[in-house]
Amino acid sequence: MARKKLNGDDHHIDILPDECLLQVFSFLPSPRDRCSCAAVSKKWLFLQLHMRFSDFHHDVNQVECSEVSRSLEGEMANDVRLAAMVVGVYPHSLTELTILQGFFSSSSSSSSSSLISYNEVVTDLGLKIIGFTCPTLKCITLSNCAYVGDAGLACIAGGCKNLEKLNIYSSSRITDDGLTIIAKNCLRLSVVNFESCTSIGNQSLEAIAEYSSKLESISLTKCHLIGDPGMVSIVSKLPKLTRISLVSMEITDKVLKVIGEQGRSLEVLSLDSIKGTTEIGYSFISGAQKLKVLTVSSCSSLTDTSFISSSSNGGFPSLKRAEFRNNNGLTNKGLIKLTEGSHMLENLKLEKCHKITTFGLMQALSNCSNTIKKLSLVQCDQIGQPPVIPSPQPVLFSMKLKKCKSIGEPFLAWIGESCKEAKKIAMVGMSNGITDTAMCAFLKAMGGGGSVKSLDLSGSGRISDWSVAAVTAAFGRTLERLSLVGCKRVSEEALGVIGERCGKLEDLDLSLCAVGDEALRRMASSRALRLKTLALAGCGGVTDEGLAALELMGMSLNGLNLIRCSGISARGIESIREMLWRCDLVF
Amino acid sequence: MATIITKEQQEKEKMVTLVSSDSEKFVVEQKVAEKSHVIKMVMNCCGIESPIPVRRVKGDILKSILEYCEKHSKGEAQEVMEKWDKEYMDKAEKDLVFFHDLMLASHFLHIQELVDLIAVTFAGMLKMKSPEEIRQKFNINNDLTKEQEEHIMTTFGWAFQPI
Repeated sequence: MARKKLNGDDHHIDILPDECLLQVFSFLPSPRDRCSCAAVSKKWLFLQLHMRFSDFHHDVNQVECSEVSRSLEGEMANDVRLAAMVVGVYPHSLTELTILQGFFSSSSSSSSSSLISYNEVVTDLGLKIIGFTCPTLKCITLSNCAYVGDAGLACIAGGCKNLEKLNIYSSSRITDDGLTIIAKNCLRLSVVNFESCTSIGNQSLEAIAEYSSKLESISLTKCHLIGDPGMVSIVSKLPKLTRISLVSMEITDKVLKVIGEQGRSLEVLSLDSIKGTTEIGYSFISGAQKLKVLTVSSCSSLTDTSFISSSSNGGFPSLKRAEFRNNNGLTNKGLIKLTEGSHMLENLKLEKCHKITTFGLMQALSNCSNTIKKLSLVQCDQIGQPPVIPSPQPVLFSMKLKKCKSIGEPFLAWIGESCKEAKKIAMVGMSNGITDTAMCAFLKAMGGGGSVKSLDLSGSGRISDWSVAAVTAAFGRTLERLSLVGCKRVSEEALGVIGERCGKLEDLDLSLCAVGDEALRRMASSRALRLKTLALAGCGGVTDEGLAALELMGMSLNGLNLIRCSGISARGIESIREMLWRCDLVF
Repeated sequence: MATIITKEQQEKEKMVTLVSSDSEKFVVEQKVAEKSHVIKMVMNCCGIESPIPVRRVKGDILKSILEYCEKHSKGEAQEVMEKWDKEYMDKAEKDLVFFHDLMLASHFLHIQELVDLIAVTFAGMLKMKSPEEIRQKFNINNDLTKEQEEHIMTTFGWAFQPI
């Protein structure tokens, strides 16, 4: 061991083994010092990464550790950043990690497809670091991480025994091997979510069914290797499973039958674009006695028959929410049968169900008129004809109508009576049906009063100031949110009455309305109004002058949207920014 | 009582010879040499009659280490020891090459107290320093690419973001 003078070529510190340096680092627990040391050299960075919380000599009056979550997205999603994050997050414990890899172009700089730089993407090495340093991790999301495979997942399995949630999106490298190791090691796993995982198959689900006795929720989207065997073992072996979501999957009636027969704890079932099942299969679902939420979308094999036979088996005793989207096989008959057997139904949502008519809807609503509270109709073209037979009317707390082109005055005059106690009403994108007369009929049916807190009339191009005046007269005392996006005929008169009558109004959206400076002046001059957010996007008539009027409301305003307001100059923006310095400004 | 005293006296007389890598000889009391876990094990199995070679440690380092061990085998008051340790370290850290050799030797000889003392002193040298300052002081090659270093550096603010 010849002693040399310390000069340019002599790296004497290298004589020290890693243990010695780790010993030194153990006396430097502060995140600042850890980061500085990590940035000295590769060796020091990796030594820092290999230190666990317990390796440090902590100060007695050390800050309390809390749980933190971190997300790495796009260009930030690479191993070096991940490593720095792990060091920086100390001494807090990382419980939630999200990695959203952008689409990585292998043409960039020096890297060929076989040699991936740690600077550019997250690889198995990154997960190895996490597995080693983050034993507290509870939730990990890997999205589009093309360079992460089974080896990385195995490291997570080895180090993160507390893992509860696992989300994997768009992965071709992760296979059954990786997931089997996770299932065997992470026994607290309760939520799994796989989407577009082309190499994950039934074996993964069988492993999860075998080991993850705490699993509560499983969501599978476009995982084409997964089929009946995996799903059957998941449903039949996991007693705590409460939530299943399947999107674009291929399964047969066998799975639906097992769900009905063995899904004892199942509360939420969501099926979207399922192939391989028949109408008989769906009739088994009602066997899941605790089912509270049922969502079926774009399943062409769902027909009335599915619910007719389930109704004869006792229906859905616990069902509270039913949603049907784009199911052409479902007609009035099926919907009526379903509601006959669902005595707890509170929430009904129909979207693009073109075979359901006003008659079917009314029958369905009267079937559950004692329990139903929320109704949502989106693009249901056959609903809207005037009702023929009077029937018991439900009491709705929330009603949403969107783009239903047949709905007009007759339907509104009928449904209005059900909205007497509604808190939330939305009639969106119905430029044909919603007119001043229709609004009048609706308000009349409501009995004039009401305690509506949120009203959305976006896209009602035909209503005028008159409707706004009538609406504010009826709900002015309770209204907190009002949206009039694209109501082009609404003018300054309307804003004057809003200002006068709506003392509780907090959020007002006037985007794409024909309002100008005068309207803002009138509204702002009202002393009663205490708006928190105001949107004026695309209001070409508003200029710097009108904006200046907002100063009167400045005290309460904390959000202002001025996107595409062509009448406002840069100077106008600047002065409003100074004036409303507390307010979030988008332009 | 009497037997205990004679035992202590007997032990006091037990001396052992240690030989450094450059053949320098040091005759110390057994209890001083025992401060090194490694030497203690050697003495236990081979006895203390023949000189014990400490092949990987040079004379000046071994001398300094034995100085430390001797002081620490006396059982003096804590304040006295702390003051002595500080002076000992002040002297050692003046020459980094010597300092590193000392750390390596105490690590090799397994004298945990001394390794800790040196590590704390070493950590003090790193505290509140920038990566470049650390590299210069210890003459460390920066093998991180400029990009990588920038990545870690720019991450600082982000890594410390409030929770």
